[in-house]
Amino acid sequence: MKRAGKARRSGMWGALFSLGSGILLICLLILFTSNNPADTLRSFFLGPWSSPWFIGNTLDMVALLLVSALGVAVAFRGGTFNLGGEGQIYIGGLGATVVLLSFPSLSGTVALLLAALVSLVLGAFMGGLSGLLKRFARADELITSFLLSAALTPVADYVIAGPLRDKSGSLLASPRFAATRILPHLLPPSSLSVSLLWAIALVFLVFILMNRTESGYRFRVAGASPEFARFGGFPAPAYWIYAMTASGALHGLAGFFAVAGTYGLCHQGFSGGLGWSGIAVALIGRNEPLALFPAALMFAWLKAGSDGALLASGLQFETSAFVQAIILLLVTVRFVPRLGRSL
Amino acid sequence: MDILLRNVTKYFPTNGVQALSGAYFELRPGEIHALVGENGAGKSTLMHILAGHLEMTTGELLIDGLPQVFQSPRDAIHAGIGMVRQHPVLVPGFTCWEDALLGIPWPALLPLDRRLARQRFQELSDRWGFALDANARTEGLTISQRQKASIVTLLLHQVKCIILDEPTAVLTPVETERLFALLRKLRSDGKAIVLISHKLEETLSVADRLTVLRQGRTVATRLSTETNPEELTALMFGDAVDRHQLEKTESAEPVLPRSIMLPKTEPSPKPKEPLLQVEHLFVNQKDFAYLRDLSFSVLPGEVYGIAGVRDSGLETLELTVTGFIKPLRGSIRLQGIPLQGRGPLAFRNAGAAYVSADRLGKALALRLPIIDSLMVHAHRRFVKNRRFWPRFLDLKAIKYWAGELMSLCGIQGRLESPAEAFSGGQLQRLILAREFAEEAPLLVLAEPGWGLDASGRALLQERLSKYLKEGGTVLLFSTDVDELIRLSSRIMVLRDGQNVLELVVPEDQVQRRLVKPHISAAMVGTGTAKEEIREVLA
Amino acid sequence: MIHTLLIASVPLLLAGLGALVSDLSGYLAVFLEGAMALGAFLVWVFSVWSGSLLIGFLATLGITGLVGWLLSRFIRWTGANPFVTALAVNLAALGITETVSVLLYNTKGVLRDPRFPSVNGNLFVWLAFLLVLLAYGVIYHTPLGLRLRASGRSSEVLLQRGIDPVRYRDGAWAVAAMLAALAGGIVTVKVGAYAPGGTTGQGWIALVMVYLGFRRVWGVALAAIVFTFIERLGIEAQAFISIPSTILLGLPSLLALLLYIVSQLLRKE
Repeated sequence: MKRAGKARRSGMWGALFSLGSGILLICLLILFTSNNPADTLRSFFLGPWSSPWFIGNTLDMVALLLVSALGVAVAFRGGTFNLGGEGQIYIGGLGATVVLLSFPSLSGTVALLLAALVSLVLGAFMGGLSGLLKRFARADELITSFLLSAALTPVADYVIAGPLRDKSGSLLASPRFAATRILPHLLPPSSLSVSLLWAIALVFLVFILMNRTESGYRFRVAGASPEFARFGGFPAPAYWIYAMTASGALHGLAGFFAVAGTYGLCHQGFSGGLGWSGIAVALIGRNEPLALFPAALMFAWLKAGSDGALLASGLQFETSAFVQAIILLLVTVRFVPRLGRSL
Repeated sequence: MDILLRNVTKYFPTNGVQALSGAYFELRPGEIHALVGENGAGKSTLMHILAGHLEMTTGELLIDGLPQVFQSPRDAIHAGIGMVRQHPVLVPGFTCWEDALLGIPWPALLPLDRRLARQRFQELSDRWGFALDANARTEGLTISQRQKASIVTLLLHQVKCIILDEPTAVLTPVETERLFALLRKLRSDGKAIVLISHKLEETLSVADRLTVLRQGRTVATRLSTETNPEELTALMFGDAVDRHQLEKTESAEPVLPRSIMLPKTEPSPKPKEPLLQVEHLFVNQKDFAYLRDLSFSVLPGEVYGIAGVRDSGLETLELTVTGFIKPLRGSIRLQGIPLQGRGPLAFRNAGAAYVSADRLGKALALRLPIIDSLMVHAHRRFVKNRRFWPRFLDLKAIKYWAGELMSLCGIQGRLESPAEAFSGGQLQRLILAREFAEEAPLLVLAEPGWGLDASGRALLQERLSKYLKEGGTVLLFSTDVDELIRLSSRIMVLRDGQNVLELVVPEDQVQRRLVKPHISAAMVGTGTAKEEIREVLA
Repeated sequence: MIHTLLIASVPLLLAGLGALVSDLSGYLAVFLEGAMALGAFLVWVFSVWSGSLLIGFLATLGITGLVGWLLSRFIRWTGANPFVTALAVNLAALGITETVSVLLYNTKGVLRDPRFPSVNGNLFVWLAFLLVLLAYGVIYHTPLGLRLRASGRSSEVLLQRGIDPVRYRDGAWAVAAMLAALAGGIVTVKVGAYAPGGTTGQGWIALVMVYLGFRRVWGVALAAIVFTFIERLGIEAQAFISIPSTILLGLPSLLALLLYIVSQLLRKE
């Protein structure tokens, strides 16, 4: 019987391997397709940090990735897999948009708080529904969360392109929010806003809750070992519901940060890829809240770099899908078989 | 086909156990050869090696004089050797004939003649008197039916040697007799049968030859007509050394003296209030053996052992008492607090600790840091603010406590290392230590001997003695009669879900030996009419 | 009416069959979405290049089958998580089709070419029927099918009998990928052109078919037909209750979700 080769277990192996391969892939693509590889490579590696504007945008991406990845990580740690992140971000952002475009009597801060709350609740509903279905109907949350998001995304598309649309422009987007109703920006004119600070705070909050509290302890144990949790007197199924609800809530919040911070309005498909990137970042960070910082940073760098290289060199294709794919492909690798063995 | 195993040693690095240290076994066609010895002697290990499930560390296997190496059970079946386990694993959701068909060399895409396959199975079953329905689903089979289905499968694969691993431990006497009749038929057909057992009388009634293993070594081989239970017992326990002893090798593992006595409190003259009281317990849970009108009580300070074969309701009772299974009727009271149907947490809170039989699966979180597994009960005591959510844990105190636990077990390691980084033996010790640390009035201990290496057993003896001296009470579940006799002050035998025998364990060694067969007999007594049980439970 | 219904349900039926095969091996092929998209694209590319639909399909099936097989081996080789790795394939398929499209045709949009052969839709219904029969035959009436089903239920027993259970996942994933690619290619042929995103969501719905069909070959086939029927009903209903067409795009997912929940509630265990 064939064996898989000597296992070399290392927690960081998959992370480094996948990131390294992502970088390598982009470099190869650049080398093969760019007219001026040296320049393109430079803009790939240094572009994201080459000016305040770039730095700001990269850090803003980090903020969004942090919140989304946090949502994914929380779901994983609770023993579930939230595959509906994209839709939860989208619907969350839509809900926030509705609030920010209504209630003219509210002050800016109150409106923002309300919008954040609404986006959180909408995401929580979507995630929580999957959690409840898993608990009571034995329905796989992977499938239900994905299908729910897939079903609601066109609804959001319609609303943005229809009732909510800014008729004065030609974009499929809502009108821009009032200046008081956009999150304060830290590094204008880049899109970096206080969402970064909130994101960092959220990561620490989740870290403390998960690792320093009684409920957090039980949450982690229930997610990692349902049998053991039952033995200890706190059966796992209840925690599935908490995990999916919290995960959905965080994704919804990411939607809020995107519309109220990054964009200042809601355009169709604004959540594009953020959900999948969140999964990639969470896996790179091994679902550990504090490890999400370097993971999000690296991933944002990779993404911003490849986007920048695209613009700079006139590369024709979508590198971000490739980057996400190769990272996801390699990030869960657990061992590297001894080289030289036949497949 | 002549089979010879020679100079076989087997060492398990994961828990440092030397299971075999010089075993010798010879098998001829057309004989029933029994392999006897007490628990841990290495009988199962040796046969698993012969059947290709394990590889020997050193030694030789010769078939018809030619050396063979089996790297998988498949190789063994190819060579004509197959094993029937006590609890055979069949593919769930398949019918009997579908399961039997797996593995028979047949071109993958050639259409199966389902009718023919079904017929062949049914024919074999009928020919040997199995009374099996080829179309029956595997999940619905009883243990003895599963064993028979496995035998049919082996016959379909045309094996010439069949190994049976303690089959009768889970069979009623009637089923045992039927099995033996079948074995005799197979023998006259030229097959070689190996019967692993630790029940001497019944084994002598069917075997032609017996080989005795003790502490991983072969000590003797005898013809069944030329020996008796007393001599075999002596050989098994080492009071007599056989002059025909073969292949001496150094034993690598010191063994605990068998007669360690636990300090047992004298039964006091006036009747004490029972610590745990179970009354008229009825359990009918899917996939578990039922319990019928079971009553017993455990007095403070004693070690109450419950004996039974695995399917007699032992596991069911263990899980019901500890709160994992809800009984249909009846009451369970610990220190006067009613617990039936209230779950594992209520059981613990009422004053109990629990070491389950399935330790590594249920009692640990393998991938999390070991400290998370250690603090599963204690964490409730180390909470900083009780009043409002979130309740923060005093991590410094917990780490200190866990560190103490680790050094108590003599284990060096970081608390952040995942549980799976520790060896099986170390984990078993930690689990024991964790439960003892609860200092609960009642300790429920299931299958204490399982999975423990020498240092683990020593730790268990030490902690148990200390615990009992300090006034603790133990409820013991075990399928191992010797272990029960050694540790308990009172024993109850569970069979078919009922309390069939209860006795006080004598202090005297000789009397203990006499009492043992009674207990074993009670464990596999006559079958109970299933209709009566259904009536009562309806 | 039944005629058009059958033709319309072929892609979902084939993809569902692929999902079932993978499910029987114990590892549901989450990459079907990507395989369908790849198939839709590659069939167009190879058919236009070779002028023959047959070559186009064969080349596509060869490539996607290889991809499915390699993916399974990769997972075994490196111990990677099957779900996440399959998700990666979905994303990669997107990237690859876009990239190659741009490289070869300088556009990311719809690809049309008069050279693209056309064929009668009935052919696909017959093909689907034959494949269902074949699947039924192999799965229930051959040792291969027996071992495949055993590998999904109890790999331990297979190991004891000396059969390597993971090989069956390799094969199952190859077959699943091929069936999904076939389904995607059929979509392209029916439309007569390659439309990016034309198969979006169908890969996921195909997975649900496995549960709706209670994990049986005829069940999955029937589930696909019934699902397509209900889906069309929904679209027809648009005439009476005016639901914006954009929202209607979410109907299949919603329907699949509801039916999935119902099928799980009905499952006895």
